[in-house]
Amino acid sequence: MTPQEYISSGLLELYVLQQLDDPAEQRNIDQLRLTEPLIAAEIEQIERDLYRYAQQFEQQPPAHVKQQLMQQIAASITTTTTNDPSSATHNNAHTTKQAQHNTPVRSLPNYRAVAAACAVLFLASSMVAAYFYAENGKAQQQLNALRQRSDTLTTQMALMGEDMGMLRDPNFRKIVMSKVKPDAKFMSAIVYFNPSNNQLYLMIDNLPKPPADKQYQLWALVGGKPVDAGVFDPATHLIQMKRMTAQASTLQPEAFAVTLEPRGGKPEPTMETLIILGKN
Amino acid sequence: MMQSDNLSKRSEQELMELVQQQQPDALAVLYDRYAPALLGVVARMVKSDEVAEDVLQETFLKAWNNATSYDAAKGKLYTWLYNIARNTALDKIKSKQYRQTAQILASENIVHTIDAQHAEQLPTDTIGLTDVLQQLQPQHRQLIDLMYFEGYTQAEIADELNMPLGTVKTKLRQAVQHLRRLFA
Repeated sequence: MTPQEYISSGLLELYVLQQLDDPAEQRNIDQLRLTEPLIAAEIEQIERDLYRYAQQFEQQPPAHVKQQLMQQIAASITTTTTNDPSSATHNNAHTTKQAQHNTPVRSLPNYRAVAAACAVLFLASSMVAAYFYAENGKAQQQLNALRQRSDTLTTQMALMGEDMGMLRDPNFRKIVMSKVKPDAKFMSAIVYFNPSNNQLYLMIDNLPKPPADKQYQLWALVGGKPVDAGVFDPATHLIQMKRMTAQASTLQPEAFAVTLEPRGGKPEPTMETLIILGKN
Repeated sequence: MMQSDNLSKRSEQELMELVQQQQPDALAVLYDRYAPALLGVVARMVKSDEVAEDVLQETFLKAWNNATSYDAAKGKLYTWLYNIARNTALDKIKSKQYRQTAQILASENIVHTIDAQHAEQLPTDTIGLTDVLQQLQPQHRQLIDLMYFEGYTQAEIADELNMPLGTVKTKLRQAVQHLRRLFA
């Protein structure tokens, strides 16, 4: 093909968009642009047009995107440990859930300190769990398995580090729940509710694993009626539940409850299995 | 500390050299310059403001971390950023989590879809763009949509539309040329 034929082929456009299926064709054009000024000029023009194309629907990003970006970049420059669990890309998806208003750099959560605190809490709660589980032989096996998984502690810390960042959002409301039956085994249960996007999260410590055919289910009591907020399994990190409709959240849930249901959950709660209840 | 007004007068090549030397102010200038256009591109692909902003942030973070892989001889900076943004957006769209979240949120009566306003709209229903893409033949427009907004490969497009691969290639080349002429 002559340069002119290339120019009218559409191949150069596809080249710029990285849509050439054939890597040989791509390498060919890589070369041609160095040897053929007409092709080089055409490619440059295509790139300019691509930019002008995008400028048609520019959207001003919110200020917090740049802030968070620059904070992460600053952190990556000063970070010396290679094993930092709060790595930039991992945090990315979650940092946008933080407060929308401007936060001065000084009040930025120190992920490493927080992660260290979480490690202490995690160890403390596993030690307390060990105390309560001491009589139960089966739980003793679980505890041993937990000890052997100490290398996954880093992952847990990373998750908790992100959770802490989210929880510092002043929009989040915290609803502490209590045991309905005094001999229930979990340590603490908290629902976090973000009224600005109706997102619900659940944090329950040391909830025992249910039988295989059963699953825990969270309910929001709205206007006296229980509304399904999702099923979940015991976890050591914050669990994201279903998002409430705007209508449900305006009515304001009066309470949250957890019941034990058949695996997969039910549309209506089995009230006899109510384990946890918390008033808003 | 560098003054950003001095920096913005520097050439893109100089700015990228500074980025390669880990100078955040240089990246900030590039962000100010290109983030709006990139966000516009991405927002039409992922259909959720929150996800689009995540992609934008990840794009510039990747640009920062991979600054040394940018070669000015191989093309303009915007094109490089655009391709990073587009690939990041496609990764998100194709990710299991995104699809699961979309399914969960769409199928239960308690919840919204990810972005109820955008869910049913074609990405072309944005002010200013509608006219241009509508000037394309429907088939060309569909090809652009599949390739550009949804990240289909040419082979995938051939499958989807039940068209021979050779025909897809030819028509795509025509489509991008037409599209380009509308902006030239």
